[in-house]
Formats: sequence, structure tokens, C-alpha cells
Amino acid sequence: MQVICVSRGSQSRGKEFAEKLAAELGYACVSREDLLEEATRRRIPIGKLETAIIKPHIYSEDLAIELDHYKALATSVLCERAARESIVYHGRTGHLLLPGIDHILRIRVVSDMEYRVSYVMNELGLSRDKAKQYIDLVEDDRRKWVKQFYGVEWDVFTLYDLVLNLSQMSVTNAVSATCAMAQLPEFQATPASLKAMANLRLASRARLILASHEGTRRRNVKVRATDGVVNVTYLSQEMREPQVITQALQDIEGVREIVCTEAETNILWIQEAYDLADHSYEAVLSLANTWDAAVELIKLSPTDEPDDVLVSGVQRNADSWPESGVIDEALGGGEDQPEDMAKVYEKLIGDGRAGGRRSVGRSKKGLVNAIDRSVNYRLIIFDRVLLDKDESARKRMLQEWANFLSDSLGTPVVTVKDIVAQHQFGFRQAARMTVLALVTAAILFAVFQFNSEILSFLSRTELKWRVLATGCIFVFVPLFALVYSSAARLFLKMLKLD
Amino acid sequence: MESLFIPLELTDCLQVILLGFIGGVLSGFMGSGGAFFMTPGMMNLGVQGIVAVGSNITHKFGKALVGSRRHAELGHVDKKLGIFMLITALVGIRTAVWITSSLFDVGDAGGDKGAAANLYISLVFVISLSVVAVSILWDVLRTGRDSDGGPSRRITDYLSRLRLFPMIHFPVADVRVSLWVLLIVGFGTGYMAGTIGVGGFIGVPAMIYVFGVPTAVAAGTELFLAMFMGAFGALNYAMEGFVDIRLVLLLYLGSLVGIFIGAYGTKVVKEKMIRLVTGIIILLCVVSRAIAVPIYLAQLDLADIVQPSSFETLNNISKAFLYISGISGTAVILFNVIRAYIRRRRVYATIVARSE
Repeated sequence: MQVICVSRGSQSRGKEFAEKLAAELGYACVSREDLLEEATRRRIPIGKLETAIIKPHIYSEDLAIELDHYKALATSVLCERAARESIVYHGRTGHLLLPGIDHILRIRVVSDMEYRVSYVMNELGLSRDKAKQYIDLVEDDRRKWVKQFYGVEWDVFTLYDLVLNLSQMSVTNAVSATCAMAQLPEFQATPASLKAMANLRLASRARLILASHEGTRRRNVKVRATDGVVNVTYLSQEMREPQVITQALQDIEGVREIVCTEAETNILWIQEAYDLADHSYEAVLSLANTWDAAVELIKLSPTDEPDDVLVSGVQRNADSWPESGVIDEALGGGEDQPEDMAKVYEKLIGDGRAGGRRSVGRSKKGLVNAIDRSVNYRLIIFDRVLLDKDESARKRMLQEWANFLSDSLGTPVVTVKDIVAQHQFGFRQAARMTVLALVTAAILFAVFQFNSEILSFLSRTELKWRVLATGCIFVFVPLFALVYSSAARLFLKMLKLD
Repeated sequence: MESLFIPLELTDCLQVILLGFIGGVLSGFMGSGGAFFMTPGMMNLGVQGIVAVGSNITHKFGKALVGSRRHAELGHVDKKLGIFMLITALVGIRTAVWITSSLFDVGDAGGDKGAAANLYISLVFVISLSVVAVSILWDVLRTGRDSDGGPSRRITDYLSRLRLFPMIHFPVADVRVSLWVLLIVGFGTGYMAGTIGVGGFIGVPAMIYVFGVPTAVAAGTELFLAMFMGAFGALNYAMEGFVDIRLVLLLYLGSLVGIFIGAYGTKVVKEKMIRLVTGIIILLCVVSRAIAVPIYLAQLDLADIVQPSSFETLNNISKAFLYISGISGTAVILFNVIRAYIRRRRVYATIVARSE
């Protein structure tokens, strides 16, 4: 089923365009107003949410949870409808509502200010200046809404597949052009994208059930789903009895397994190959334990998929990796589901750090599209990729990819080696800690052994001695602090308490 | 001058390390402060108030240097804001040092040298931290009633409406602040740091509530500022000969371990609990210092409300309050840290349930 999402500005004629497009294609038309109606029916305080986003000082933890409920509701409604029929959705964040689904045609509709001002003047009976002011205010509120919801700017046009300026063409012609574009293979559902949508649907349904369940209603939980495995991450302070999550979710149709992970934040770990035998796993786990983070795995395909790949129709090769989005487990047969990632994931479940897993084609754009921007990843670990390249090219390209990911998502990107250097405690760290501790002990011994001489030196009243004493204190104190704090930090790292 | 520095026995050393540790845990946990515990703690050990403040501010210099390096790595330091505040903070410190140094010599003839400075430091401590503690506890109660977890923006909104020109934009914190407001807050922060060694309790809330700076950036910028203020304070007190290097090193032994543990505690204790514990600890410290005020008044012959024979008893009660506040607060934090640590070790959190 096809999904077309239209993102519209205030008085941009986006609604008119979306309705005509739906009628032309014979698709169902779903609007933001439909979602709001459903949200009101479920007692999600939409009005309060809108006000809180415009006036951040009234924004609270409770409203953040309500915002999450609304997001799950919007995702669930759209996924449910898209599972039954092709749809055209129009609203302010249409392009961001279904992350990781690569066959969606994302359109932004704009109109020039002159048209919009005239429209508002006619509709609301305002003066020209007031009408312009009104449009600016509404646009500003929408910008804040998008930023708060997804952490991205509304006007980043690279997030859209098509931007239509209705000041330059009629709605009818825009609809015709869009109908032609909608036939392109890139915007047709594939088994992989349908599977990704099914995962999204399951996750949003689970989130909504948790929102209505007595024991989990006011809790800040994040839900992801992959092939019937539902991952729920929750805050330790909020959930004393995590069993209540499994009780709430166990009857949902399509759930094979429920994994509950206590986590304050998320780490995204992207590799082409995972190996439990190397030191990567211990390093990542150690970091996850330190940060109280859930680790989400993404496995990249081992061969390149160019960003500008032309896919020959909807009949993609079942054994190949699509250029973007989430790869279907069933696409290449269950046996193609990466076994190495499955093993690491099972281990993460055992260690209480599992945060979901996916497979993605090897292209920069595809990878970025597949990452859910509404999830607040604290760190992205990007390593063991481009393994088919030679060493020097791999090193350079790894950096390029890391920079691209970091720029696109605004999240720090590091390699496992960086983490090992930062967080693992080995022989070198032990030796360093010992040396620093000995230096600290030697300084303390010297100061207390020559206690009276030092105090006498510090107490001399002649100006030149005072300046010298002050200079000594000024240099010595921070040096001691640096040496001792390094030793103390390594000691706590050794105890896994840093 | 040598008589300024008290002899340190092993038990004294251990007590200073403990003070440093508790101060470090509280400082790491609450984001600022710690000195409010260490300064009076040292005074209760017999250290002259001015030496306690001088040693503490020197200790703060190195501590802030270490802390701001870490915050800078995370992008939590608005250097432009820090530099603007620093200019007047240095004037504030200098003013504070001048006042305390002048008061130090009052009462010299009567044999109670330092009593006036002790009284002055104690009074500033009691008044300013009472306001801070009550504000924090009020904020906790307000949060409970309205379920609104965010800091109030009433002052920020009011000042931004006033638009006292020139307004300066700070890119990291993403706020616009009037230069005049900046200068006043900077002076207040420096004055408090120079007087009682607790500039952070003025600087951090001011940045959050007056400037509208995000909490993480406020804490990082305060440490950046504290590094310079500590350096400047250390220079000033060292030039006057009021820094006991032994106390500085002993404080580091406890505080630099404590600060990491306190920071770890913030990850495992609820936000509301953090503020509640903070408010109660500061309030108990204020009571502790208030109990010592009559001693200094009597030493200066300003009020004959206690006999010299009662000085020791009052000092012990003051000490008891201080230790109760610090130790109980630290115990709450350590309890949560240890519990979380053990729980992680047992992999308590993950449960795997299969529907079939």
C-alpha cells in the first residue's frame, strides 16, 4: 500500500492539494485533524501540549509523556490505515511521522507570502500587517512543535522528496505531477518496507497499550519492535516492578517476545559484522552499564548501495539488500537474517542492555533515513564497516561516514577503539593509576614531612617571598589536583563506578 | 603569622579528608557547593575562618579546573558568558577579600583575633544560604503541587521584557542577557565565592532563573567561571598568607573521589529527591553555623548572651549539626549509589518473557 505524506504550512493550500491528490489517486485522505480527534477521544491533552510547546516554561515531565502517547497514536493510526489501504496524509509533521519507512513519498507544500496574507485578510478580516503577523506567529509555533517532537528544523528541505510551490503552479497541475511521481519505483511498497511498517505498527500499539495500562500509564517508556520482539526501555527510578510491562503487553497479537530493559539513554551500535569473540562487545557493554543505556544494533549490508541507485520496479531481487530502510527478515529468507547480530543481541538481552536490532543497506542516505530521529541517542558507535575496502580507503571513508552521520543526526559518532581508550580498564590503565597514586603519595609525604618548613615559607611577610609562595601555590595546587583526580578516576573506573 | 595554621594530628587529617569527601559527594550530587560544608567543618576543627575560606577557595581552583575540562568536552561551557561574568566576579572576590581581611584584625587587642571575620563570614553564610535553602525547598513543594518539573522562568521573562540595553547574545546557551544584569550577577557570584567560598549557589541558580540558561550549560559555565575565580581567590588569599597547603591537599584526597561518586548518584536518584536532599542539607548547615554566631558575638563583646564556659558546648552542637547534615545527606546518596551498583551487577533489570 502506498503512503504519501504532505507537510503543509499555514494557509499554504496544502489541505486542498492533499484532498485533490487523494481523490485523483483514489486513496483515503487522513488529516492531522483526524489524529487530533482520536487523541481527544483517548484523553490526550492536545491543547495543553500545543500551549506547552509554545510556552516552554509550563512544559513538564507529564506532558513529555503525553507527547510520546500522541506520537504513538499518530504512528499507530497511520500504520493501521496504511495496512488496509493506500493513504494521503496531510499535517504539519507528515514527513517525520513514520521513520525508517523508505517507500513513503514525502511532500512539502509552500505558497508565497502574498497569497497567504491575502487569504488570511479575507478569511479573518484582518489588516495586512496583522495578517502577516498572524502567519508568522502560526509558522513559529509549528516550527517549535516540529523541533520539540523530532529535534529537527521544519525547513530542512532535504527531509522531503518533493517541495511544491503552489504560487508557481495550479493545484491541479501539482496533483498531476505528483501522481506521476508517485508511480516511481522508489515510492512503491516493498516486502522490506512493509515489514518495517509492521514493526512500527506493533511498537506504537504496544506503546498505546502501556499508555492506557494502570501500572505503566504515567511512565516514561520507549518501545521498539522487530519481527514480533517488542523492546521496552524504562527508567529505573520510575519502574520498581518491570514485570507489569510484560503483563500489559503479552496479549497483543503478533508479539513473540517482550524484552524489558532498564535504561536512561540509548546507544546506537552500527557495524557490518559483529563478533562476540573480539573486545568490542565488552567495551560497548561497559559503556552501556556506565551510562545505564540500552544498545540498539544496526547491521549494514556488506556491499555498497549507491544513494542514487535506480531500482528496477518493485520486484527487487529477494537476495539483495535494498538501498535504504529496514531489511525484511523474510526478504532473503529467515536464514539470511544476520546470525552474528542475533548472537550479540541475545547476549545483550542476557546482560540487560538490549534496545532493538535492524539490518540496513549500505548507503549513507539509507542509513540516516532508517534511524529514528525522535529517539534521543546519546552516542553512535560506528565501526567495522566497509570491510571490503582496503585499509587506507576504509580509514578515510569511515571518517567520512562518521562525519555525515554526526552532521545529519547531531549525535556524537565514535569507534569502538575510542570507547576502549576511554572506558576500558586494562594493564596500561592499571600501571598509569599506580604511577599517579605513587606520585600523589610522594607529594603528600613530602608536604607533611617538611610541614614546618613549608608553613614557614608560606608565612613569610617580605613581598618577594610572598610573591614566590603565591606562585608556588598557584602552580602546585592544580598540578596536584590533575595528578590525583586522574588516579582517582582510574580507580573508580577499575571499580566500574565512573 | 605561623600561629594562623593549626597543628594537624592524624585524627585532624582524617577529619579533613572526610570533610573533603562529604563536600565532594554533595558537590558532585548537587552540581555546585560543597564548600558550605567544608568551610564551617574546618572552622569547627579550630581552623581560622579566613584560613578555612582561603584554603577552600584554593582547593576549589584545582577542582573546578578538573571539572570544567570534562564539561568542555561535552560542550556544556559557554565561554563568552563565563568571561563576561568573570570580569565583575573578580571585582566581587577582591571586595570580599578586602572586607574579610580588614575584619580579621578587629579584636586583635582583646586576644580574639579573627572573631570579627568569623562572625561576618558566619552571618553572610546564614543569611544567603537560608534564602537558597528555602527557595530550593519551595521549588520542590511547588513541583509536587503543580506537577511542573521545569525551573520557573518568571524572572527571565520579566527581565527580557524590560530589555535593559545593551543586550548580549550567548551562542552556546542561546540566550540574550542585559549587560547590567550580567554585571550584577557576576559581582554577587564573586562576592559569595570570596566570602564563604560558595559562589556556585548564587551563580548556577542565577544563570538558570535569571538568564534562562539550560541547567547543564549553567553547571559547566559555573565551573569554568569557578576555575578563574578560584585562581584569583587563591592568588589573593595566598598573597595575604591565608592558604594552608596541607588542608588543600587533604581536602583533595576526599573531594576528588567524592565528586565522581556524587555525580554518579545523580543518575540513580530522582530529580525531586536530589533537590529535597540538597535543600535539607543546606538548611541544617545554616542551623549549624547560626549556633556558632553567639560565640563570635561574645568574643567581640557585642552581646553577652553566652558565657565563655559554654563556647565549647555550643561549638560541639554546631559541629554535630554540620556532621549530621553532611553525613546523613551523603549516606542517602551513597545508599542509592550502592544499591544501583549492586542491582546492575545482578542484571536485575532485564526480564525476558515469552508469550508461549
